[in-house]
Amino acid sequence: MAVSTECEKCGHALAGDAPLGLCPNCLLRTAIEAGASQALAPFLPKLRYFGDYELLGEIARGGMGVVYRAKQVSLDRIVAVKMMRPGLLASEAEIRRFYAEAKTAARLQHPNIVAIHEVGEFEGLHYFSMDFVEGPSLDALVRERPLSSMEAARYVQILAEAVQHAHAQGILHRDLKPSNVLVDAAGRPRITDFGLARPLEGDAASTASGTVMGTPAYMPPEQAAGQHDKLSPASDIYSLGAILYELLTGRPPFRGRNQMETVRMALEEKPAPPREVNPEVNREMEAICLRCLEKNPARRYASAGDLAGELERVLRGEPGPRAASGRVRRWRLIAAAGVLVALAVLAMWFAGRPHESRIAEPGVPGVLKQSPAISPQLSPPPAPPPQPHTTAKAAAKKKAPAAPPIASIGFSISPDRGAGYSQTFTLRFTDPKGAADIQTAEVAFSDPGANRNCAVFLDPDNGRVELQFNPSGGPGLRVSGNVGTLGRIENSICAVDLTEAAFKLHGDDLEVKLPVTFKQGFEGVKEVRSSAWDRKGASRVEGHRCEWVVGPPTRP
Amino acid sequence: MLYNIAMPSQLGSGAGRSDFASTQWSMVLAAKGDCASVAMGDLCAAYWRPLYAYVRRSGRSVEDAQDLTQSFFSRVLEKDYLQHVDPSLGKFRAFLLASLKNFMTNEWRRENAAKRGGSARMVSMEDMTRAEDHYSAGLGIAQSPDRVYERNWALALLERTTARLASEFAAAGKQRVFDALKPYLTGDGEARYSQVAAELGISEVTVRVSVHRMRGRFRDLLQQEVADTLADGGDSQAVEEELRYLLTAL
Repeated sequence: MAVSTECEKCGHALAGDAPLGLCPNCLLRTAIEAGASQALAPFLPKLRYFGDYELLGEIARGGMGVVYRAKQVSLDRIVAVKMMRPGLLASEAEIRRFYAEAKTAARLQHPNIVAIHEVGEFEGLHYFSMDFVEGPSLDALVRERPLSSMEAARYVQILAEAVQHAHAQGILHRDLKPSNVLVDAAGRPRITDFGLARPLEGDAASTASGTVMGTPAYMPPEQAAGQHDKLSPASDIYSLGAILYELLTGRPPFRGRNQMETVRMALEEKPAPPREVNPEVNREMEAICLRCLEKNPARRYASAGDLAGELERVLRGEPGPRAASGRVRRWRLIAAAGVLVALAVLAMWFAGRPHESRIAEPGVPGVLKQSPAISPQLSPPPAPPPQPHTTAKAAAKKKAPAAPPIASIGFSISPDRGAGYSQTFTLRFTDPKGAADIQTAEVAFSDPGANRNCAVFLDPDNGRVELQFNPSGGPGLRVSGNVGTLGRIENSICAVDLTEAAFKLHGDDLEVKLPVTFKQGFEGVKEVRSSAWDRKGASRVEGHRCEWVVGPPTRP
Repeated sequence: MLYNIAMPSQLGSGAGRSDFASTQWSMVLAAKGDCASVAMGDLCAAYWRPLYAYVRRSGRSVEDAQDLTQSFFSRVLEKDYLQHVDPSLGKFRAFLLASLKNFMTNEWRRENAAKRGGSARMVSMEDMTRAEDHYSAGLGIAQSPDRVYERNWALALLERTTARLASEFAAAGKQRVFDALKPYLTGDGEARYSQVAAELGISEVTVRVSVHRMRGRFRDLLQQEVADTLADGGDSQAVEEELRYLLTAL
């Protein structure tokens, strides 16, 4: 049986196969950082401390900036610091561009865009600090192998929403490419390097007309032609299409022997259909990708939001036309009408159904217990028509008008008994009359009487789930992630698949889809309990026991 | 035909070998001759355990996984195999996994195991058993077979490098120093240099300098090991990228 503990330094699970008994993660990281500090030396011979920052290692370098991993001493947090390389500061234009970049990016506050904290100058060195994102770039991920069509769709859908957010504020990125997308520990893609971004209506003089700026392989033809006055949101949509192309096929749409040839191809040639490069690419994804890559900007999606919507539809597995955006919008209206009809049918179904009763557990005030006899009825109602994995906040905006009345019991879980290492549980928190909305909830799988439990914290407002890092050590550090993003969060006891996890609102009731994989070493009978807090901070639901046996699944 | 690439006991514990002869994947790709096969065997010796872990994670039994791994090696080390290797495959890590997947779907049949590798074992049973212990120790962490492969690859790399470092210290008669300093290979954490200095009877400054040097040497060895598995081992950026990628695999 696998026995694993956690590394005291980094918290990574430490298995019995660790070399010399040392944490492999710390071992490799220390070696990499030892090298980074050596690489740093030629540029910044005496700079270990830099204003409020202690530079820990070099992360990356581009045309004009070097990015360091650093500790912001006053706030005791790890950040990334991007600074101009000494010696390259001679040109006023470059300094102006550096500040323009930081100023532009600092206006963007979005979970999928790397946030800028501070811009400044220290002893003649210009820099800005931003979130430190630990994880590979999409570039590194796809270099290993192409992603599945659905994985690619999920990534680009999230990116398109972030780009839409920037466009709504009048900001173009102009250099979107896989290496500018970092994937954080929670599997969340985050756009970085707004090195060439500028306000849509901004200073045209900062970019000389006729100069090709950007990265040729991902560049729209209007940019490859140096026609900067023709850049528009459609230019970023092209680049999103180029990213999608690479995620699906493992290579960018155009790859010449040199940059000039790539520029020529971007101007003149049609990309090879993705299915020719990788036959496993889904037909719809191919059509979406090629539409983004249209030479004529008017033939691409009308907005990044439209592209996101189209990808979301594919992710939901819904059929749809591959036509112009006008048709897409019409289709959406029809689809929305279909959802309403289905909800109305559900409401009628529930109206004719008796409500389950609340049964108080003897001697424990407020504890609700589910009667085994009614467990089948307590299972969540038939799934409503497919909805996107989305945050509860977003879902709240689209709240269904005719919410079906659901059982008045506070909490239910389905399945409520069984065995296995992996299981997708559906949790349902119902809203008793007169109570405020559920704000946070917790569900714990624990051994009766034992100190170990797998506690999952649910934060529907922000679409997040959290796991306590060291479950036996009491409250403390938690790992968290956004539902619907690629990846998972895990501790030494269990892992939660974020891609499949989802929050849904049914009227005022909250439904949570929670795919959990328990680890070896946590076997045995578990009791499941839950509690939730409403907006007044009162714990108003507690209890409901059910049994789950962590171990090999048993057959009925 | 099988090539006498190493004694079985050496094969199973590449990390424990004393010579650590540098064998480069780029050389294998360039030569493709008899020498290449020998070099190839050396590389396989260092990285066979990730393959075993992949096979196990793909749902094969211990016995099947042992046979399959042995058979795979017999096949890979055949003279004509390298003739079909596509140099554009790049990394040895990717090549080995692609070859294994191909072998598992197209070539290997349980009943053929005896004909191929079953009778002439390339990896000793003892090492196979150790590989199974190793595999099950890491079970709770990585999930898909590909992830298991990559994680085990990173572990094999670290293990080989730490063993090289340890043998260098031992050769210089500094086994005790290595034992005392090795926890610092993972960073400072709760660094108690003074305590170590007292234990070894040297000054605290000497301990600091030694730790710094040991880390630098570890990094050099690590880079060499990684470079050996890349098509262009001379490209330091490629080495750095591979190291960072492997960090994500752990």
